[in-house]
Amino acid sequence: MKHSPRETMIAPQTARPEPLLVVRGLSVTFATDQGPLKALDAVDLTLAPGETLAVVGESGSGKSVLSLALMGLLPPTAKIEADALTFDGRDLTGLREPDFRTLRGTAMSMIFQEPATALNPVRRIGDQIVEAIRLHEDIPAPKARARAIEALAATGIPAPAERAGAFPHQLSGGMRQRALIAMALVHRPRLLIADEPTTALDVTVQAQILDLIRDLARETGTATLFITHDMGVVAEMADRVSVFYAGRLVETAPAPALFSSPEHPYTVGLLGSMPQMNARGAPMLPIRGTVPDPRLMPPGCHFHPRCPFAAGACRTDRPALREIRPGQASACHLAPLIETLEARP
Amino acid sequence: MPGRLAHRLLVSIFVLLGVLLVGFLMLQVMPADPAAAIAGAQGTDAEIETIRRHLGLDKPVMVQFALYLSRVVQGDLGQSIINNASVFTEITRAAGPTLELMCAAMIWSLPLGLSLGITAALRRGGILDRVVMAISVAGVSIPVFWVGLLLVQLAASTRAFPIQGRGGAIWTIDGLPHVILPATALGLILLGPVARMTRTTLSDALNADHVRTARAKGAGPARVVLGHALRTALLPIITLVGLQVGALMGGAVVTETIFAWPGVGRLAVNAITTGDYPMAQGAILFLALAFIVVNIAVDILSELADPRLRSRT
Amino acid sequence: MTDLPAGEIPAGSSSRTWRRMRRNPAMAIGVTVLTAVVFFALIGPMISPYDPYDTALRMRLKPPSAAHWLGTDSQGRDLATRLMYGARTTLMLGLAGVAFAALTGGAIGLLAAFYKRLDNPLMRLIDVLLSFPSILFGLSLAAMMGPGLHSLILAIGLSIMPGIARISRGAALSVMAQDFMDGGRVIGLPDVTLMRRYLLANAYAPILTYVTLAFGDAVLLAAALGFLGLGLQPPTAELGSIAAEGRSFLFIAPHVSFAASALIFLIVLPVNMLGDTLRDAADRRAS
Repeated sequence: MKHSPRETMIAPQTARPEPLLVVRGLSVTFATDQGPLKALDAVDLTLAPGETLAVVGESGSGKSVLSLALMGLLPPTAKIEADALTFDGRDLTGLREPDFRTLRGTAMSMIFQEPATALNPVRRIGDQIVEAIRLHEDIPAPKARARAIEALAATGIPAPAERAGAFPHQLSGGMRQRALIAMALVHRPRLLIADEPTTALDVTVQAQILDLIRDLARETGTATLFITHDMGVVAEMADRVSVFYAGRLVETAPAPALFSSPEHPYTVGLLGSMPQMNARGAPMLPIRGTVPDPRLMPPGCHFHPRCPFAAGACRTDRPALREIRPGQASACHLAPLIETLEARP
Repeated sequence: MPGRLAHRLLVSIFVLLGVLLVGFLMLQVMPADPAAAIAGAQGTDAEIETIRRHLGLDKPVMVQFALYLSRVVQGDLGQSIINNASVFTEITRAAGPTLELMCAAMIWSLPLGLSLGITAALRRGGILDRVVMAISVAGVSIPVFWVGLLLVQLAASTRAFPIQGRGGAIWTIDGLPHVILPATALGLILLGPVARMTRTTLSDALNADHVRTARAKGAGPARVVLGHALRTALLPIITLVGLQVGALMGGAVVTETIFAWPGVGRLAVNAITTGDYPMAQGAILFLALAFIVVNIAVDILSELADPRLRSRT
Repeated sequence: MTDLPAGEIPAGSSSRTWRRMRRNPAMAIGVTVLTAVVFFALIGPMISPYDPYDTALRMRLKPPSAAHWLGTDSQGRDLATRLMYGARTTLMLGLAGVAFAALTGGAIGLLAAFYKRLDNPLMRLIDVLLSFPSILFGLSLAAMMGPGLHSLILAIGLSIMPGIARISRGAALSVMAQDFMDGGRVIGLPDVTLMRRYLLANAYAPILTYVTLAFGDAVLLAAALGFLGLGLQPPTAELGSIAAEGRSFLFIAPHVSFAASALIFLIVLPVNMLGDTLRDAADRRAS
């Protein structure tokens, strides 16, 4: 097993006795026709109970692979390696599939990006939620049905009993996402993974769904891993933020710290692409170029070809994740950035 | 897509008209004078004239076609030129055995084809997948009559099953052994296409988002594959089976001939080779009508299987 | 059969398809077998010392020997020679039926795609034809025209034509949506030139794939009708009717039917494998 250079372990911002989710040195490699493809490269993650962590990155950054790895839903062609991968005190790496299955939908559940396709098109909404209930709980069908309607009602769907009898194509996008949220939360999971749950929705509906996820998660004490590429959503939702780039974790920080003083040039760039953030004084840095082909990753820091500050070591050595200030760590040779900027003309 | 069924019904009307026109033409090109043929060898000129007027043979062609249509609607398909038997009666007698044979063929080949397709889809690219695909392509490439003849040889040398005729209804002790060989030969036609289509649609369905949702709910592999993926993959398979009934019909004609199975296909072939035009016309009308009915049934079934087709949104 | 103009417009590369096919050993075997059968059918009749129609009653149903490699049939004719002529006939029947279907179906599909107002009537006609199982074409035409060459070719052609019409319409429509069609119109090319040089040149790949698979069906239909006595009539050497003749002597000389049937299989199987490979390659390109 490969070890990434690491100098500091990142402690959660507010020290709690037992984190819900601990991920250390997680790598995922896909076997492809063109050889192995590393989708995740030694990433770390910690999530406290009830906390909301936003995982941010462009497409191809590995954030969706991360969510599937945590759910144990990666295809058999994926090779998973980790120094530690524990959920609620249980080691997930050695977990057998039948045991994993009892976790899925109960202790951890997931909502997806495309509510249009994430529901089974040929089964009624209510039946799909009833199935989710009865997979893990041995209760009679009518009782499960009542619970399903209750769950739909909790998401603010009007006339939930009627909607339960509808097929997915008869509902609007926002309504479908509400149904999926109801289904995901029906067993009050300890962890909810939301993979870009609002990307496919209309702007007006987006805010409603975000509010709903936050409110329900708070109500049920569910920790949320919120995957997104939208810094606006991050600002709205997150307690803490982890920024991914090309399969690596490049920065992690409490949300306010990340917005006020980002410590990785890539984060700076992400914020720069959000106009209203500039007023807060972060340097404006549009990101040039595109994410590199995963088979042709540059040596050293993966970001260096696009980085305006890239210097000698950036091209040869992988930067370790270093704590810059309490709770905030950056995998950049040049961090803290403010000193680097001041040192330049 | 609203109105797949409506479209089918519309097309079916034209198909029906086309078939009736073919049936009508078949009687028109009959070299013998139909009236004389019906009157028989002892018929007098006066009798022939009466029959001719009764059949409307003295009227213009369009009127004759209209008369033909009205006779067909009343179930009057004419008489055989060979033995004067009522075509309608002969066909209703042969329809049951043909239906039996086709059902018996589907009873084994549909489940087996589905299972082979599922196996291939789950092990895509593996040895089993290749074996299934090889069976499938060989199945559609082999002439039905070769399979039939091989089975006849095999059965004759082992004396395992009767090789000629029908022994009564297929669910009886006498009937069942008789149908085994023809049903085996006929079912092979369906096996390849069903296995192939199942493999394709199921592999797609297994990668669908909603199947991932089902797994995220904690559903086990059996439920994921059969309850979710196969359920959505079923629609194109149903459609395919409807279309394959045409091929099955072709196979039935050959199989019935080889195994002396008293069905409509054998009736049609015998009628054509002996120049019994009314009988051939009736048999072809029946087969075409059966195909139309099956495909309408398939469309109704598809709408039941897929709620997206049901609602008009 | 397809001598299509190409070159003016970038079409999908076929060299990749070839490479993929070469990597597939089953395909290599299939192509070899097909070549051997075609060779057997085309060269065989030239070098065989026997006439396929010379009967010799004293030589009936002889087992394979040095003189008659596959023995003789029920009328004492050399079976190997009968099979060579039969295979040639069967290949010709398939080709003729498919060529007829490709010409008419291709024309209907292209016209429907090119002239909007023809689209609906032509395609409804195709829908109707699609609703006839191919065996019904065979039976009806044999009944109306009498069994023989003409009814057989027409039956094969009509059963394949609607599928080709649909495929070529679909392919042509996707070509129509591309810019160079408008370009061709703008520079004032006549419709016929547009259709031939632009539509056909770009739409022929899927049509070719379909035609390949249809050829297998055509051969099977011809053989089945021949077997039923509704195709070419004896004594014409045709594989289906040779198999039917052998059926009467199935228990004393099973090799007659067996050899004729196996030969049909050896023609259809590689053709279908080729068609599948083309189709898979096309699917992969599409996805």
